[in-house]
Amino acid sequence: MGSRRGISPVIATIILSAVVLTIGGAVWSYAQGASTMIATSYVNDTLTIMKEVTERFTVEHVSNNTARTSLYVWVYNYGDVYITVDVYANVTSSGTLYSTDTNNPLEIEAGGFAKATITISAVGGDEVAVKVHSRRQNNAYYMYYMP
Amino acid sequence: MRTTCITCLRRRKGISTILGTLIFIGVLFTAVIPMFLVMKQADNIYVQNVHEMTIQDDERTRENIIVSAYPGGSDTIMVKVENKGNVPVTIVRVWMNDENVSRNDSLSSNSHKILGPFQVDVENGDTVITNVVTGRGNVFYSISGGLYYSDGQWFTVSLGICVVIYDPKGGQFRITLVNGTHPSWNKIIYESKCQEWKDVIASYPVDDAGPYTVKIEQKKGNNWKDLPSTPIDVEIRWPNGPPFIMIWVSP
Repeated sequence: MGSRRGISPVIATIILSAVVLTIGGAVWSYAQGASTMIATSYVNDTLTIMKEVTERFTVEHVSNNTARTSLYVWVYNYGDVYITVDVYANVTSSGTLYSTDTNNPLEIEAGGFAKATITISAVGGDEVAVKVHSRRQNNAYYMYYMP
Repeated sequence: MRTTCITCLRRRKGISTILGTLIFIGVLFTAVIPMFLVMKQADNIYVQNVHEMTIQDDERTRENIIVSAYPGGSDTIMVKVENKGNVPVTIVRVWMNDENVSRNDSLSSNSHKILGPFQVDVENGDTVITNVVTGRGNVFYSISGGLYYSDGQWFTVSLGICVVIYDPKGGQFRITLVNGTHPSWNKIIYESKCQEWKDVIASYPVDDAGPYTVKIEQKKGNNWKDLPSTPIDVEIRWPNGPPFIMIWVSP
């Protein structure tokens, strides 16, 4: 009995150490995974916000066809990120809002420009408020007077 | 009675604590601190980009170019671009009505460039409106307004009145424009701040054709007195007459 008496503290220590190592390893592994995920998510969110605040675009030119049934809007992306935009035209005299196909938005690469065509109904002298709305929630406005 | 070696137990009891501490430090250095460093780096990139965009926006507002379109021939247009701002400008496109021409012309501050000739497809009665687009997204329209084409000739459709007081001999002058159709509309288009020794030139664009009265006064003591043979009545008869009236007077 006297010789066995010392075994249990040693075993207890080994078991305790094993438990600590196991749980510690699991926590370590979980912490690494979680921190990687949190960091990746944070970086992605930051980059998304960064693109939102750095996108720049403007309405460069607006014209219409002779029948005044089509409005052409040229959008210039002068920022450093690609943009995806929808174009809206509000004929103020009738209060009617027209837009490009929202299922088929205009995509413009950085430094590029593109033409959007909106089918409208207007008469000479109408004021047409043009709004270009990006999928990152930025806007550009233009007031066009129908000739 | 059994006794336990307390000293031995105490010595062994610290192993788990040491292991736990080591694991905690390991987690701290391999997971938490790198995570914060990556997040901080992302924040730095964000702040840097925002700063760069702020600078770009500032430069955009400081862009100031003067665009003058003028005929280069019966079916061509030249465009003179003067950079009056304090930032270099890149012209990326020139628009003539709904047609555009891509360009890549750089203009340093206080320099000018003549672009063109640009071929335009015009018929009698057409007006060509010219504007240029800069790399920073500004659109500048020609100060000469649209160019009106008729019978192989080009005209400016900007209406305006220009008054030239030549050889002012150190006088101080005030020029007032009064609309003959709506006399309540009057505008001081020029007023001397000091003695004038060089020719005084004052141009003012007007929206409508019709009669105008140009009142030119000279400061005598503390009073403004009409110059001899003024006020002058003029009429812009565009399109049956010139769109721009020039008036020369001498004190």
